[in-house]
Amino acid sequence: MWQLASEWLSRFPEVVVTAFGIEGHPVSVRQHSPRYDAQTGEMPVRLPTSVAPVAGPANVLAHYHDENLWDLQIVRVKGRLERRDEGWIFISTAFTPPSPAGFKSRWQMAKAMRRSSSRYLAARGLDRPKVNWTVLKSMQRQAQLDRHLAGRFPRNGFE
Amino acid sequence: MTGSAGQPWVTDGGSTIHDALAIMENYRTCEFTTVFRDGTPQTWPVSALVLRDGRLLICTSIGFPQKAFNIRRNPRVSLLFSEPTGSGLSPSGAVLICGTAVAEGRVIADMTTSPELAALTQTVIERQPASKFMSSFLGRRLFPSYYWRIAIYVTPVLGFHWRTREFAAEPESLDLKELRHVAAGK
Repeated sequence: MWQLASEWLSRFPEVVVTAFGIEGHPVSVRQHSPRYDAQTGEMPVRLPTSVAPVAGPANVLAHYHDENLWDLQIVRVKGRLERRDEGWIFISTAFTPPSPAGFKSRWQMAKAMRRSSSRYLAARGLDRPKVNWTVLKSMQRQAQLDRHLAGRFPRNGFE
Repeated sequence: MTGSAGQPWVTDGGSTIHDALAIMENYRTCEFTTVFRDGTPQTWPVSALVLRDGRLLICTSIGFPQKAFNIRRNPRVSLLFSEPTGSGLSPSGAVLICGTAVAEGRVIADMTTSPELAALTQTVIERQPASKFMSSFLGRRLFPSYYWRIAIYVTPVLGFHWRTREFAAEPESLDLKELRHVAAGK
């Protein structure tokens, strides 16, 4: 039943498990080499006692980005955390596979953002804000120049 | 240890705060969790900026306002800095911050309205060169709301630091007063 979730998660060497813990805050802990069971949707989780995890709602997030914060990949599984024997187990309750990369997915995201932002503005009686493109472009040019200079004169080489 | 901006960081046995701050400032993303209306945690990778008063600043587009909605109902949040890719930090540990968040009511379209917002924008532009697409002719038409932003400020309440990537090990508690002191001296 959880085969698809298992396949997606197997693409990541690490995942982040989030549950509730100390003083009622959400707490997240990264897990190496997750052992997610494709049959049961269960995964043993190792959590330090100092974050005081409690049984209850939880999720698993796996994500990847390259050195330039691009090629983003995100997978999420909803579930709950349970105490079993002496350890913790994440139990899946829902999984929606991420949209395939490509133009269609981008187009759907664009439509969803338009809908959402229009609703947000309308609910507050706000007009479409005007972005300061001049400043933004200037920042982008500066960052490009900095990257160029950093490539030619790596700072670490002088330290 | 050296930060991506070239600053040297002390890594001797007593420098937990400096190491933790280096992680928070240099990791490209952190896992940011808010609480949905049904009480379940929702986690996203985001870029955060450490402010001089020790708070953390995050921005979200009004095209993706769920984080702000969640915070307005329940301000308890957490940020886990645990993914070192691109940070230039070695050896790399992790930091977990639990805190209370405020999502501002205003919609920001000019990120230079405060030095903090300008600094976060600059950080994201530097870290994600391809985000330039969003201000291109096509990007502006496809994603007009990308730069319509809500600022989220997180005040840390508890902090934990793993010196290594052995996450099952007990992390050290962070002295947040000391963290604020060090952040103020940046």
